[in-house]
This record gives sequence, C-alpha cells and structure tokens, in this order.
Amino acid sequence: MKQLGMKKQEHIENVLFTLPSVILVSITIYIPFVLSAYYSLTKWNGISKEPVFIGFGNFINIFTNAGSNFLNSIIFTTKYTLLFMVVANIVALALAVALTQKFRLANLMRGVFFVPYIMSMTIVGFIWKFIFSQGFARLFEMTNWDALNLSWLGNPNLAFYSVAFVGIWQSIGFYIVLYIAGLQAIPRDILEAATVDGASGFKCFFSIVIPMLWPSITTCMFMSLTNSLKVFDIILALTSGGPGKATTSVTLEIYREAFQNNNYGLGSAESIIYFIFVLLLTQLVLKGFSKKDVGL
Amino acid sequence: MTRSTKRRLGLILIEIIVVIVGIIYIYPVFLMFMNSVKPFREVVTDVIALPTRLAWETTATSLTR
Repeated sequence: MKQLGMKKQEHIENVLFTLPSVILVSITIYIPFVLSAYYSLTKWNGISKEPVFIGFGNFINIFTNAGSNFLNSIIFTTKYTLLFMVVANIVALALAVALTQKFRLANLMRGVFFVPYIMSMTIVGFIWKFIFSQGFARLFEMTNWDALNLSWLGNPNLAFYSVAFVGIWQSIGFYIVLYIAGLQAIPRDILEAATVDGASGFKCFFSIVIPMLWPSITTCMFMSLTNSLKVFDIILALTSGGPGKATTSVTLEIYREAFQNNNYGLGSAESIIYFIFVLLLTQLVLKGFSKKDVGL
Repeated sequence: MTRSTKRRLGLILIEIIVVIVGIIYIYPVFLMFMNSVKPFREVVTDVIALPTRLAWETTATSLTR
C-alpha cells in the first residue's frame, strides 16, 4: 500500500515537472499549428474579427488558380535543396579532409571558413548584393572577362545559382566543423593498418573513411536538407524573390501571401501543404540514410 | 623520390590550395570591413581598391545617429 502511494506521488511529481514544458511548447508550437490548420479552411485577411469558413477552397485555389505561384516556388525550393545538399556537403567534406591534415595554418584556416557562418544572413545578403552589382562590374572593367559582366541577380537562371552560391558560402563552415569532428573520431590504427596492407589513399578514403564517417554524413545531409527547405532571409536580402518570381522560395511565397497580400487563410493553406511535403521528404531521406547505416 | 618526401610535398600542396581558397572565401568579409572605413567617394568610384585613408566618419555616424 505504501509502495503504491510512493508510485502515485512519483507520477504526480513527473507530471508537475513536465507540465511547464508541455504548456510552453503547446503555446508556442502546437496551438499555433492547430490554429493555422483552422485558418487554412477560412477566408481571412488577418485583421477582420471573423474568418469566413470556406472548407477546402484555399487548397483548391492553390492547385487550380493559374496565377498562383506556389507550385513554382515548390519547384524552385526543390532545385535549391538538391543543389545545396550536394554541393555544400561535397565541398565541406573536401575542405574538412584538407583541414584535418597536419600543416601550420590548419587552425587559422578552420576559423576563416567558419567566419561567414556566424554572420547574419541579412548582412551576408547585403555584402553579396554589393559584390554582384558593383564588385563584379569593377572587376570586369579591370580584367575584361565576360564572365564578370553577367547579370548575376537580374537573369532568372543566373539568379538561382547566385542565391544558391551565397547560401552555400554562408553555411559551409558549419558542415566543415561537423565533418572535422567525424574525421577526428576515426581511429588512426585502422587507416595505418590499411596503408601497411598496401591500400592507396583513394582506397582508404572510399572504403574506410566514408563508411566510418557515415553518421556525420547523415547528420550533415539532414541539416542541409532542413536548412535549405527553410531558406528565406538570404533570398529576401539578395533578390526579394526576383527577377519576376524566379527565386521565390516556398517560405517567401507563404510570407508574401499571408503578410503582404493579406491572404492569411491562403497563406496558412500553403504552409499546411508545405508542412506535409517537408514531413514526407525528410522521412524519405532519413529512411534512405538509416538503411545505408544498417548495411555497414 | 621517397615516400616521406612525397607526403611532405603533398602536404605543402594542400596547404597552398587551402590558403588560396581561404583567402578567396574570406574576401567578401574583408571587402565589407574595408568599405566600412573608406571615404564614401572611394566606395562609389572603386569598391575593390584599398582605402587611401581610413575614414571613421561612417562608424561614428552609425554609433551616434
């Protein structure tokens, strides 16, 4: 009987200790999410007192209205995510491998590659806007290289690559740090044994380093996936989604629809669709990587 | 050429490449700092040139405005 009372008391203590966190998370995440799901079924400008219930009208509007830019923004974000994930991870891994070699300036160089990551995205956007417009123009005057005279932010195709490049430039330092940590955790004796057995540098890298680095690769891939799917501020600072709507990401499209066009209901519907899209995509990617993990 | 000499040369090559990439990589940040202490006229006429004199007026303005 006494033991039962103790268990009950322990249970009450557990509930009391977790309650503040549950309330906080509910207020900041779950309740706004449920409200957003409700608003997605309404026609509301975000100001009027009563949202008008219209059922799935907003969802039908997104997929049938020719003027809607949502599907284009999904395509842009998918392309951006693919490019970002592949390039950022390959370059970061290559630099991490180079920076784990023993040379005098290795530590300084690690700091150099990390600096852009600690800068605000808005400042990064401002710097690169300045470089793309005036810096490259001045370099063209000096060198006469045609590549420097292109409209990096004015041409829709080039603007996509410019935005992706700046995003990769800003975040690569973070992935380098993760890869360096992973590389340093690989036992030296395994690599030395492989070298003694006659394995070449490439063989060691692809048959030992990469499989042993797989947890870091999974982490970096997942982080780069989520970060690129959320891309917003760098695009707002660099192109504001232009030229036209060529570089409008989904998050920027949702922001515009909800807060600039005052279509809060439509913006909420877009955010719900995007939530499902991101949920499915991240689950797919995680499943793919965990399968590879088991195979090791 | 011995194995250790090859390895040493490889390391020097990696160091050179990493340093060059690092300088190119950090240049935009350097450019931002450089232009923040350049007289406005020089920023407009030549963004990539080094400042002829250090102009702290803009820093003072941003701190006092």
